[in-house]
Amino acid sequence: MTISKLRWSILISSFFVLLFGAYLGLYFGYVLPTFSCCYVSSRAGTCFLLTLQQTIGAFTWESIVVFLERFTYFSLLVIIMGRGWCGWICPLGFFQDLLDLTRYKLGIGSIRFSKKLRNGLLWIKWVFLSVVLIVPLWVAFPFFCPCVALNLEIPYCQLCPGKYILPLLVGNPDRVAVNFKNNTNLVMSTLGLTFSAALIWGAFIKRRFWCLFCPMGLIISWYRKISFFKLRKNDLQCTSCEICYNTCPMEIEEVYKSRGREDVTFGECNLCLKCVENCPEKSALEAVYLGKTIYRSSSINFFKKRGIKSSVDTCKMVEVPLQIQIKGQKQS
Amino acid sequence: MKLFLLLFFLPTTLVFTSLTTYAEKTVPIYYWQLIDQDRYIYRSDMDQLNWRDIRKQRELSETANHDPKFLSLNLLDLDSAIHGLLPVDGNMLDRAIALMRDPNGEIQQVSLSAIANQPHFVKIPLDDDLTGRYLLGIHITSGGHDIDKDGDLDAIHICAKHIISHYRNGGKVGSASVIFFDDAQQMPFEIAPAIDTAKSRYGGGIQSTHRSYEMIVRYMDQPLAGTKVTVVSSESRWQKSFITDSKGRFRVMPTDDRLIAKEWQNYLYVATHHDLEHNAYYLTTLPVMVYKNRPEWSSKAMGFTYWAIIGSALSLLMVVGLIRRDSWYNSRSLTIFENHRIKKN
Repeated sequence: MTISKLRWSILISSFFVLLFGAYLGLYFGYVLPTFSCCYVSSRAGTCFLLTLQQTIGAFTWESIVVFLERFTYFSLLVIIMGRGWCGWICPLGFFQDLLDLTRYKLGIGSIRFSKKLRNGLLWIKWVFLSVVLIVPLWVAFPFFCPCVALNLEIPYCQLCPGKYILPLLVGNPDRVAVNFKNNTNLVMSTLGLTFSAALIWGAFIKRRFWCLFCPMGLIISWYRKISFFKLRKNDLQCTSCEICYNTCPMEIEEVYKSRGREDVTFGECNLCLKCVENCPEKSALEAVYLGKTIYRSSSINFFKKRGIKSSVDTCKMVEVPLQIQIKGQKQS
Repeated sequence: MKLFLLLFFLPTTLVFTSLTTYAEKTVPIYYWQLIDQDRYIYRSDMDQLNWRDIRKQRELSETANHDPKFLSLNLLDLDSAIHGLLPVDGNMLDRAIALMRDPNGEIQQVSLSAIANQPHFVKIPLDDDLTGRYLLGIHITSGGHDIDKDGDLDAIHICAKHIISHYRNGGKVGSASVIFFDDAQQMPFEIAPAIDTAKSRYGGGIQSTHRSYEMIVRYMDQPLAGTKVTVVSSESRWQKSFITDSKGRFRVMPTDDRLIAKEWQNYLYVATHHDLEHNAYYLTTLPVMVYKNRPEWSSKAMGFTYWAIIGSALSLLMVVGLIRRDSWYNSRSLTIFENHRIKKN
């Protein structure tokens, strides 16, 4: 089984376990570093962003204790998997991959954002993060406009495309509607639906489009130095062929550009290992878990993936026409 | 004169007949009532308070959620409001079995205690940390009523039930928050909201007006078709009867009682079943709290103003940004042009 197939298998399994797990009596708590949305009632666990917003929104001693407890579990989970949560488990990521696959099968090309544009869009995820961290403070202490603050509980969840898309995927279309209950809900649900439409549209033109703006990914990326799951590069083997850049759904250039840096787990890397799988150089890229190599790039894999049995066979295939050509020259 | 008599007697007759449609008059209607229900209600006028009061209200509400709940067993007085309590017959309770099913699905017997003004009450939960849906039930039996006047005495079974949600921050969530006791011997006749227990770990004891709810009636752990269920509201005494379908289900849409000032009211579901084969008469009750809708006339001007200001500010910011960017591009182009001109000269 190739690493891509393994990743797809895990993504599909995670999707069903996380969003339908309650039917099996599974529940992993409110600490998951992935979009296991609280609006999916059959979920087997809840996204940590909900805890973050609720505990800040309450801001009592008790909520702080709850936050610290859940934050500890969340941190442990992130340390164990790193941004592998995004690449291998996230249900919203799976949905984007599915759209990307559809786009590919339909023969529609994808676009690539320039580094300048990507850097220019960086502020969006920080705005989302401030919605997660700062708006709940207003909810906790509604000094002004309490009519708005009281309707802004879990503000990011109201904007998150997961709230609208994931319930729809499990067969509940009720969320896909503008909420006319009050002005705040009207604004938030309109924005949320706009972001959902942007995600679907974006996923058709760019791989893992929404991951660029995801505040959860931003939080997880802060743990990359201490995470067990890492990406390692061997400069001596790397020929800077840019295949890693071309295959990377997050379009990270630094992997092939960086020199003298062994750890190439960059903040945006979601550890999908597509770069390792597609790298043609033996051991140029390695997936490392707790310092131990679990998967490494190899030329054999590279050729196999392109339908070429082995490098030896390739040589033979090349040799044959050469011999004919030589014979032809001799005959003439 | 005839018209007058008709106008006078017809409504009076209707009122009196309707009050006696819950069950046979000779069968007492027992039901559970949550003590201090006001504590568990989310106030819809919170935005009228200042921030300190809002925080205080939230704290009270959280404490109420955390604290154990007390429920008392009452006897419905058919001739007055639903809160009109009659003394519970102690002799009948001697033969009663009170049960509690916790969110892990375990059933245990509970004993009725007495406090100053509540002679028969139960405290739930026993373990504060276990959060989820709790079921409280009591099965009271008594014999010696000839319900159908056929000369044979019918055994009376009264099964009162209540659904309580208990939540504690950081508490352990129960693994099987069910809605039925699933014990035909101890609770043979039950009524419950048709909710997916896999999806919903809390709730069931609260409904909202103008929303449709499906309810199920079960007898001996099987859906009971064609049985009569009456729902009555606490304040206005509005009532309606339903007949269950082949799956033992019926749909109800609570109405908004605009006469009451409170933000909630109580509904009591009463279902009856006469088992002619075994000469037994069953009655079950389930009270639910019904939230009123927020009044339509409440002001939304503040929220509208806030979002209008935010929207205008963002639009203005965008326009200013675009103008500045445009002028920056222009000035840069001019600089480049000037540099080229200077070089050329």
